[in-house]
Amino acid sequence: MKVSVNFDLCTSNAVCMGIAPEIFEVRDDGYLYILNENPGPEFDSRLREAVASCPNGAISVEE
Amino acid sequence: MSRLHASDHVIVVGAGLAGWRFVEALRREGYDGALTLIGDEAHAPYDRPPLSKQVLAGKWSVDQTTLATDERLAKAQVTLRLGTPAINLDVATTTVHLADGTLVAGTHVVIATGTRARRLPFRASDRIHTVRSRDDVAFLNHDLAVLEPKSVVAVIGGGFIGAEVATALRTRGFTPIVLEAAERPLVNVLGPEVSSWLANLPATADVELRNGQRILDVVETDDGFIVSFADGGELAPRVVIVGAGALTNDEWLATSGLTIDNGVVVNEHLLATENVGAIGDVARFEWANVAGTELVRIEHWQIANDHAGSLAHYWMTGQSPTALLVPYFWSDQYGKKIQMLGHPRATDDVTRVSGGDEEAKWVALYSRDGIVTGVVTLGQPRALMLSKVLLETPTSLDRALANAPWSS
Repeated sequence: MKVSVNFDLCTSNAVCMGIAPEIFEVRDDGYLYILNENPGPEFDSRLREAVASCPNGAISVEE
Repeated sequence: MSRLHASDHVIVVGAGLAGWRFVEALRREGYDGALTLIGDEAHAPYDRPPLSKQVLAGKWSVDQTTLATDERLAKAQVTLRLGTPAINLDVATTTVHLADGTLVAGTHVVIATGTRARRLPFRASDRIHTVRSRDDVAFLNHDLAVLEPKSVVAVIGGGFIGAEVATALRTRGFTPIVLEAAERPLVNVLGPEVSSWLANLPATADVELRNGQRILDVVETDDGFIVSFADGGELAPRVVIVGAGALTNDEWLATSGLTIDNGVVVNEHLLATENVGAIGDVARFEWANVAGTELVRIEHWQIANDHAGSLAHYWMTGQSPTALLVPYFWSDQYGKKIQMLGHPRATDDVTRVSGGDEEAKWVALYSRDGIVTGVVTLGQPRALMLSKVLLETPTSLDRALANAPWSS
């Protein structure tokens, strides 16, 4: 899957980091960083959860 | 083992976040039977949190809150019955009665009717705004549109909604005055200590907060309102908004035979009967957590989201999540972000592990009988999420302090 974040919508709630810290990290500077834009299939379910759980609907994945 | 089959008909009552996400989750799980979504509002499912934040501040259009876009609706293959409140449920025949006199008969029913804003019994009650629905915001914006800059707007209630609304109004150049009944906002939610650390936030955003306000009445005048107080004082705002909590939309189930007690009581699988479930704000569910199991009703966006996925998965596979559900909540107010994990009580012990009284950033641990029950942060999203492990398995306060996951 290819992960992307709409940074105009992201407000760094860090919910995605709580679900998949291997892929998303909010750093001390307050910004979200994508650690792995092309994670393997083992992340599929947690990525879907991160997409659904983002309060701003800022995350999208392409199959 | 799937409990649902292609010949079934699942009726979802309530077209908010919980109901819509349930529809999407059920299709994702592979359900290919009939699906009906019933809602009392005329709008297709939309997201509420931005209403009191981005939308009221004028940063987002109301359309940006739409969850059920045309594309997603088509994909979900769901029959919509919008603008038609449900008025009764026959549990034995899983039949929903609608206000327009029609019946919808199915095999399974999901109750997701949520909550509504509490109204206060003042004389001008009908003219006092709440911020819960799209229509509420449209009505409020209509009244705000005729005001001059700096006009006084009274916000009754200094809790999460009140604070977000006041922030948005200030951003738009009005003069919100927040009228809080308690000694300070959120004292009954976050407890005396943590609420005291937030006491200065409104001032930092140039918003006036008045605590300990006992309001006797609100009456309408030619160009606004008079708010009268128990101490004899008065305030003359142009617009009045109330944020005084929410009431469960469960009256329509009064004669259904289901157990209604501060919401629809359901078990650990979110079921009231084998074929009737309840999710989201209206569900009072058995919640397994680090401190044991308790019956709770939690009005969080993320709980609605999570419940939807869990019930859909259970009905399709017979399996419930094995991990503990960790509630998450956030509020954007006065230019800061307050976040919470867990469901701590105002009476729990509090330990501040980062930040100080005068700082706009801190991390607070809540604990009960020496076990961590919650984490609340101000302006520290990273620290909050690093602390999630404390609520995934029971963790003593001592071990939490020794490991200090928030600082890793």
